[in-house]
Amino acid sequence: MTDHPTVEQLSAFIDGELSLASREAAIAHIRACPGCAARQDELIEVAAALRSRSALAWTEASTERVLARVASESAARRTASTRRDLTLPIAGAVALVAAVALAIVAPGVARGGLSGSGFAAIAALAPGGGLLSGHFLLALLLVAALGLAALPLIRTR
Amino acid sequence: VDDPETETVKAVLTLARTLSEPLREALLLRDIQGLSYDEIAALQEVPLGTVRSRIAAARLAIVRGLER
Repeated sequence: MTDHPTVEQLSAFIDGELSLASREAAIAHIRACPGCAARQDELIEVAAALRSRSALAWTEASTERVLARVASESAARRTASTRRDLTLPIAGAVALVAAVALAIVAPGVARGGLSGSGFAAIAALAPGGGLLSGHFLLALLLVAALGLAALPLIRTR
Repeated sequence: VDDPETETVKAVLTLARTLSEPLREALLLRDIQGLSYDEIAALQEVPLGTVRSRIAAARLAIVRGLER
């Protein structure tokens, strides 16, 4: 490195946040340049002071504020992820409804044979008609499934 | 009587309190909390380069304050 490293580079070097190439160049330069070595020592003194045991007694209000903010932000993140986690139970509920619907419909289809339509097969399940007719049962299951699928949309508002 | 090292720590802490909030926070997260630049960038919601310059500016301001 022919140019002097910037303060930013010297500072990042202390933190081990320089790339390997930049780090090697910085080391080579600091060895050959007393001015940069002195500046580096000053920056290290500041970093070391803050990292020392006695610096832990730093109980200024700003520290409390930062920690409180970090805590509240991670708590908010946790709440957000909890909200996202509702997707799985809802998907499970929808799948369960679909499975129940299939369990009801499938035997009917099998009984109805290849010639009979799905609707006719369901209708055949409840020969008496009325409220328990196949069409009504199918409509009920569809409404229930749609309602569950719409649940996340309602909750996020 | 405090030893010279403790005196330096006190002086650095006093100077750190005079920094602007973003600089002081970045420095605190780095040197007290021990977070990486990436973690600080995510927390302060700024690019990595801003974290680098904030920490460097904070340290330089303290170095200059100690020289006085």
